[in-house]
Amino acid sequence: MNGRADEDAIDRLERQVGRLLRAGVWLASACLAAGLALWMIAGGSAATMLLTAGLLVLMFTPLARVVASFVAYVKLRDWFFAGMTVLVFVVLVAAWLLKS
Amino acid sequence: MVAGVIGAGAVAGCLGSLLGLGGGVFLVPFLNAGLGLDFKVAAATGLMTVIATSSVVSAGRAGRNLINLRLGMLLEVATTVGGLIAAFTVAYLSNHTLALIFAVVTVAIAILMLTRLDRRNVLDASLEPGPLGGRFHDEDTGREVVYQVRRLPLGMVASFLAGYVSGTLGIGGGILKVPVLNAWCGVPMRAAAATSALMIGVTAAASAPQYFMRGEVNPPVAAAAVIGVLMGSQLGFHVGSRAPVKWLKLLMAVVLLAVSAFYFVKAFA
Repeated sequence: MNGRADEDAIDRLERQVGRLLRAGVWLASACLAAGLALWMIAGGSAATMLLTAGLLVLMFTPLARVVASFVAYVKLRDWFFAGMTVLVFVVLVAAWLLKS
Repeated sequence: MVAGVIGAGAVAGCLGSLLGLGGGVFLVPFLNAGLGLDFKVAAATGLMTVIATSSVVSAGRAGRNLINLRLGMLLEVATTVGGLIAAFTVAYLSNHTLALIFAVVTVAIAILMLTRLDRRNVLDASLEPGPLGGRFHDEDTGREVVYQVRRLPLGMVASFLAGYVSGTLGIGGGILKVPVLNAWCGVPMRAAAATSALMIGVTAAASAPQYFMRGEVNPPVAAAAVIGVLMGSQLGFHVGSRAPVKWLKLLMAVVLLAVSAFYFVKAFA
């Protein structure tokens, strides 16, 4: 769990996670901005679809981050933290599947 | 309406990213009290902006060792469970009860921050940080900073509560986690804020789907708020790495007191 190689791997993971999050937010905000502009000008189902797509991308971005972290911890053979990411993943999936 | 929400989002995003709180803590009261939106719609909007702020701030901080990924992932187990439970139970809690609890908690944290303005959790750079601790380069002092994580169970409990508060009020849980991590768990302010900023996105992602599926997300309002918060958080991020820690703490305490006063008034009015 220590040593230079692992620290570099964690550093790489941090940068990869950063790129993933940035991509997710860019995609989401592009959809949201286009949807909002359309909604103000014309309204209609195309606007609603774009807005909904943007919100869905936004909500799934943290989930994608958790999956990326899981893959990285498995590669590092860091089973404890791989297990922790699985727990977080299960909770996030439950948030979609359970009915209130 | 749209311009107002974007403007409020920008202010909230700037303050939020400075403090690692997410914009929700400022935005939700504005949407609820200022624009007269239903509390749950305001909370759902807040959650969306929290996810956006979290992603942007963490992406910007990545690669500087400020974010403690291991500690974050460990605390996320507690915080997402809190967020999930909150999304289901929010229907059974009265706004009055929530406002009162929130007001009391924020006042307590503000006092804690004020009494610890000059404390820094910084160890000698030659020390080992341990499995959960970390080290990073502090741009404020120009020195290498090392810290160890203490009282982890307390951090877990605080994260669970933060997740619960986040899911019921639509704010980022950073308002609870950052002070606890800083004052009790030995994590320096900057690392606590960066790690919390990463965690609040996942926390909000555990609550948001239930609001979304119940139809409590107003898409145009959420879109306007997210865009505003993103613009504001970019600004806050660029200011944040240069602002002195003491002033960040003072600003946070003032913000907490203001939020607390708002919820006290709301609870008793």
